Amino acid sequence: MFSDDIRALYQEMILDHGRSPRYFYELESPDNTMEGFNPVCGDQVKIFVKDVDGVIKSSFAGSGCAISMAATSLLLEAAQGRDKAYVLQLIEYYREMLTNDLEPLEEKLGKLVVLAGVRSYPSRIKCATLGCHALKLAIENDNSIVATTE
Amino acid sequence: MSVFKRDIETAHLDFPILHQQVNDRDLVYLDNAATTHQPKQVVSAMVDFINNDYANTHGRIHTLSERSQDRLNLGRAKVAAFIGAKDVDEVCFSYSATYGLNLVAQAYFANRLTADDIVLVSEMEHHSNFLPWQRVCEQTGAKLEIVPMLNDALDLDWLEQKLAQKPAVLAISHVSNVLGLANPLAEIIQMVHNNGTLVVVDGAQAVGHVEVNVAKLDCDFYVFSGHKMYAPTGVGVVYAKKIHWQQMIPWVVGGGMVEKVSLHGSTFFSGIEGFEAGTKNIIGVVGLSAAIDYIESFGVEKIHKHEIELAAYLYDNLSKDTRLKILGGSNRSALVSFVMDKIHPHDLVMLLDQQGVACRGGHHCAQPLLKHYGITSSTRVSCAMYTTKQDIDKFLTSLSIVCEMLDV
Repeated sequence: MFSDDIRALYQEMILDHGRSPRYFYELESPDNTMEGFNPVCGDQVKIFVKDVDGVIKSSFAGSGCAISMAATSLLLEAAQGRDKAYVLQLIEYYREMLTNDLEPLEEKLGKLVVLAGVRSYPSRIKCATLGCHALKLAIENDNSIVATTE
Repeated sequence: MSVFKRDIETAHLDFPILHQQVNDRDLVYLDNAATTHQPKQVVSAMVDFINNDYANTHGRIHTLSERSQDRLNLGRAKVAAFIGAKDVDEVCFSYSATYGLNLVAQAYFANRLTADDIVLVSEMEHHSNFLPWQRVCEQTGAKLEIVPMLNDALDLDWLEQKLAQKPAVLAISHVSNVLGLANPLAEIIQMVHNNGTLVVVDGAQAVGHVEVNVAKLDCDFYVFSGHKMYAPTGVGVVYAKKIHWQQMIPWVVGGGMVEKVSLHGSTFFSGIEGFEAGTKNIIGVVGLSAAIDYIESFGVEKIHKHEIELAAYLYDNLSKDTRLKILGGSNRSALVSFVMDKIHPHDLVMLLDQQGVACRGGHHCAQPLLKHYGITSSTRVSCAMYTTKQDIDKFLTSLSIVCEMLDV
């Protein structure tokens, strides 16, 4: 009853991370936090980051759809134990994946390639980028604004 | 009005848009609380008007202008009769319910509220009937207070007690766009009026769906839009008692509402003409008039009965489903909103759309009400006069298919 594209979008890994998100807690004494909000659907996320000897630890809290929860969970999983430059580069690769038609490269993105299917559904791209916007701003230590998807 | 009303089961045949495939499935349109579609009778009335009679109305300066002005006047009279206004001069055309509520807040209340006043807004309001009051309170220093929800309805005991403090105004919806609950307006208005408090009603979800008689209700202001009652977008109505129109100060100024303009000052028309600045949406008014004719060819009573039967059928089926929780009680008009433990509304709505079923997921522009229920979004299924029992069955089947795919 559903197309292959839709089945790919709601594949096992996305449902798993959507229902049981990883790094889903509030980090103690973070260096920075950043809230993200999607005014269209009400999804909200709060990212916590802490620089421990050059390695970025991160976590998140909030509520949202399967796509936004899974995307944030997978992104934070891929970012754990990495330095600032690596995480910013990862975010850039991830954003590129969602905005172009090229075959996503697993060596750059790891498990995040499962989210490539989102780009067939423009209304859901904001779900997939909510956490990533907030993480980028949190790492860049620019907490002067709330990250929104608008 | 003919005594021979049409059979409502055939209404959907008048709506070509409903008879198409979306995502390779027959469309099932259940987002009627967001906007309703227009029957071919409304579309052809507008096309005929555009092709034959359209011009600017100002001053009846030529024949087409005369015809357009006549249509506008006819439309005003038709709206007045439809909502039970005592006088056509109590009906002002606007652009949407949002615009109309802002007009009331700014043209009437912004000039008279002071820091000593209390403005009451119900907790179940759409942002359109919340934000204009928040703003007017910021402007005047008046105190904004919220009539709270008690379980699934407004706490009328709280309201009754609050009246002792002589609030200036109560802003309240006729029918909630999230709960489908029709507030007991007549009872509320009588209680509030006994105290001298004015009442502003957001009727966006009510007109065309439930019987509305502003004179019987005795409300001070009643605001609605055309596009939720089978007319096009961009046309709305502000009803106010004549005495209130006389006390309002023009909010938007420009052509069509002014008597004399000089470099040193200007004078404006009194009454509704002072509140229809600019070229009016004449085509929209023609569409709204045709929509009223269309509704009356069935009768509001029959439409209401049809919609509440469908909503009850939907409610009965969904209330047996342990995977979800319905917002509000069983007393409802044309819609049902619900939340699921394991499927977020945004995912559900997308997957239903893939099955050809259009409904709404999100906060429905009622964030304070959703907060009362401890949620940030819900899925809303809303009916209209053209909705059929088969549509509801298709929705229920699609819901099961989505649950199966997501293993819920």
